[in-house]
Amino acid sequence: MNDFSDLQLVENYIAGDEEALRLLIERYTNVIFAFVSRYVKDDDVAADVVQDVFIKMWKNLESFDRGKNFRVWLYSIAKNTALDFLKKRKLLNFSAISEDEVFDVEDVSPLPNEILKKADEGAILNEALKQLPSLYREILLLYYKDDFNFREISEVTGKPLNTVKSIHLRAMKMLRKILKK
Amino acid sequence: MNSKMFEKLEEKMAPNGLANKIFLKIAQKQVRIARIRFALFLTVLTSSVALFIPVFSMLWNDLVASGSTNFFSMLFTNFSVVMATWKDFILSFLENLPILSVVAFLFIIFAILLSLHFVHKDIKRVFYNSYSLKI
Repeated sequence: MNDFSDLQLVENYIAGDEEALRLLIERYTNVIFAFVSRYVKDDDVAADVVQDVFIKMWKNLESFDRGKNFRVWLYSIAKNTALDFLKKRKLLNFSAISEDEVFDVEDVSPLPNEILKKADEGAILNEALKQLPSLYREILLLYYKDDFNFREISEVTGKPLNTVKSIHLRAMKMLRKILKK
Repeated sequence: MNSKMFEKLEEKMAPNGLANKIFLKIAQKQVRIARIRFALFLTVLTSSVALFIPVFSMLWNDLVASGSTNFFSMLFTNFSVVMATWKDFILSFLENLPILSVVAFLFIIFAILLSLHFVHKDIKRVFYNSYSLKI
């Protein structure tokens, strides 16, 4: 059953196979925990939020649109749940990012080796990412860490596709500047 | 190259046993829902079964009073005549049918079948899962 796709597991669960639900949860617990931890720093609280995410997933499994990507759908639930939690605790700072903002990106090529060597240390990269605005950081991590494409990131974040692409370019440029220091 | 850089980034791992804890939590909710549904449909089933005889008696009395039972006996005694005038036969039968009693009887049958379905669906989860989850 471990080789089953997400959609097959969803279908199996709806058909009455409880083990399929367990597999889905096991498959995504770590990545969803890592994703939620980007919003919620406390591990215990993050675990509670992750639990809420999977409960919401379970409640809506029967109405899940089979034409959609299950992973994207689950990440959307995780993001909304994390944001709801932060709103309740009034911890959310809304940083306005103008979608009309035009940014001339001169250089979209990969980072030079010197910078990569510096960035080779995960901790340094982590510190550099912390200096980025949260949405920039989120898009970079979704793209490079979670392997989403831009269209999927657009669905998860709720931002238009072109905005996601331009934010990605801006974020990489900012990251490059930070790592050069 | 950019993605290589991000491979070095370590992200938090979920605490041990979180997946199992989540699954158990969902299982507990499933048992709770099953218990409520089981209690509700057991009540509906019991009430429907209790009402079955009175409703059936009411239907039978109304069928006799309306003369609908005569149509059934005609089917066996004058079958060829019924087949020759089947359209009129059906129309007359429908006109004489005690609609309210028929609807009430069909409703009771439907309620019994539906509640049997849900009681059967939930009984395992309520009694077996409750025991295994120690709820």
